[in-house]
Amino acid sequence: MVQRCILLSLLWVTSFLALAEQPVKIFKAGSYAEVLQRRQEQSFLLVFWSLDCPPCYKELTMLAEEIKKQPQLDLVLVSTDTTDDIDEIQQKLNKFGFTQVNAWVFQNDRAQQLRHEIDPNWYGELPRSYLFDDKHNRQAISGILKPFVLQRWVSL
Amino acid sequence: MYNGALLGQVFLILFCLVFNAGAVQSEHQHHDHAAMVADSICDKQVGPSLSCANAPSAVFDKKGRLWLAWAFAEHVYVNYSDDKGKTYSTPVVVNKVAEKIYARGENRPKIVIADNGHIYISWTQQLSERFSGHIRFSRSLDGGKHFSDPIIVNDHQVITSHRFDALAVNQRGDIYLAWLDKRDLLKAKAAGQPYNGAALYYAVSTDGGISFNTNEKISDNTCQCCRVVIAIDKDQLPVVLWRHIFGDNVRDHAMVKFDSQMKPGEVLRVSHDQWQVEACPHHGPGLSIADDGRYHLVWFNNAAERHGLFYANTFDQGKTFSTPVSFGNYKAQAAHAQVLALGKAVFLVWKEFDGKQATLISMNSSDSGKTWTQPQILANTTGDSDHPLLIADDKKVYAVWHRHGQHYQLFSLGNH
Repeated sequence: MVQRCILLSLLWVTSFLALAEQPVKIFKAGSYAEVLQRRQEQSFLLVFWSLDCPPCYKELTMLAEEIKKQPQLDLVLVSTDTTDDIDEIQQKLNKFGFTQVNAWVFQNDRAQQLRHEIDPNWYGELPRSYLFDDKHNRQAISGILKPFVLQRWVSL
Repeated sequence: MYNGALLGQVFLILFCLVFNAGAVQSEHQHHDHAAMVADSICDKQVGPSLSCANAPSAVFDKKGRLWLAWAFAEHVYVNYSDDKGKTYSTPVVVNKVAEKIYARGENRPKIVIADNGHIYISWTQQLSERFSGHIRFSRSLDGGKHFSDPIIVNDHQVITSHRFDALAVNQRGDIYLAWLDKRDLLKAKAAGQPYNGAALYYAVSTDGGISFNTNEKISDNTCQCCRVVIAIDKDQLPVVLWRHIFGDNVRDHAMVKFDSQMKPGEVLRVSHDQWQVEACPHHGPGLSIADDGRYHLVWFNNAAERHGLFYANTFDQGKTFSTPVSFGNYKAQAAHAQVLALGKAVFLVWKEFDGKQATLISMNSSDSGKTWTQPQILANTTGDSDHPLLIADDKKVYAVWHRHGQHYQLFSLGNH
């Protein structure tokens, strides 16, 4: 009984830990509005990245460091890969310590529609970041965010 | 003991609750996924299918037969059409042993046909690590009935990025492959040195594809995720065009013409839009060389001042260029253009997107790119679609556009 109890305890603790990390959600039509709606009167940072984009890893490294310095930074990470990549996306997010970050992946075969819904002037270059203030005015930036740009935005 | 049993019961109940919650969540995700792809006929597709393939390449042979190479599951297939795309032959597998293949957007299997009818195929094999790949090559000497076991062309075979292959064959039968290669990045990293982007490497086969020479470098510091393009000049020497990194992450375009069969000449900068970005644009250029020796180029940039699609040409192998002309509707995501020049006739094709549907658009010039017709809409789709291509037989020019799940169709752009 004790052994069973220990086994079940371990299983339970493991399950709990697994659930503690936020699952990667599927970003589909309407998800962008949902992200905004959940953050009314809040500033936040929305970053699009992909497993296939070398500069994106530099961006994630920089963001991981910034979040350590500024834990209040509300970061939303959206991968433009496919739902087949969810496990690998989760692994990468864990590696960078983004277990509590609101994470998404594009719905399959809808990248163009989703990009257009978010920003018709975004041509798919990655990483692509949007700095939102509390009124939801946004600043779009292609390429790796410069830490000073992020810090200036945080201090606003 | 009693306490232990009670604790066990509590854990058991909690475990069951957690397990149940997990199952419900997983079911929900499964339902989402199923709903996403339910409308696609390709879900049920088991055998190789051109309609459901990824990223086909197309070319006409001298007899007007249309040849295609495309990726399906973990194989490259080749088939042909003798009625301009109305019907297609049964596909023949190129790589008998399955392997992962980069075949989306900027990456596609390539097909070229030598004057003697030999068919050459290249693609990038996806390896275990992200960004890693091998440049693969196979040939058919019997009109596409059989293909040779693929060889690895990159002679640096560490698992790193050798990707974005471009393939061409000239009238002498010399086969040129160029690709983006990160061997120098690895070397720099090991030495603790900075290295931005990738390098452009090439290999030449002068024995009809039995072997390729030692890999040589054309340039360091290329952009790392845009297609590379090769065209053959009228002197039978190749010209390579790619997105380069100039200075502090300015991602404009560079071109090189070979001086001789085996050696590239000077690298020239060919676009000056000053798109400074440390990012993966995923928008490679296009190049076509007319039989009068004029090079016609298209490219995309997204700088604050100069953005969108551009066309320019050069009659002196890149020493001077015409003033770049903007085309396509920037507000409708105009992108992924191709150019094809035959004599003074120049054809452009590109994609636009209005939020709901993607549109294939073309325009053409009959005076070597001085004046242009109005853009003409050829087709559209609300589904997933590939980058468009341009091909020509001895009379007509066609746009080809792979729309996922639909018949692979040619769109006539008229005589050339």
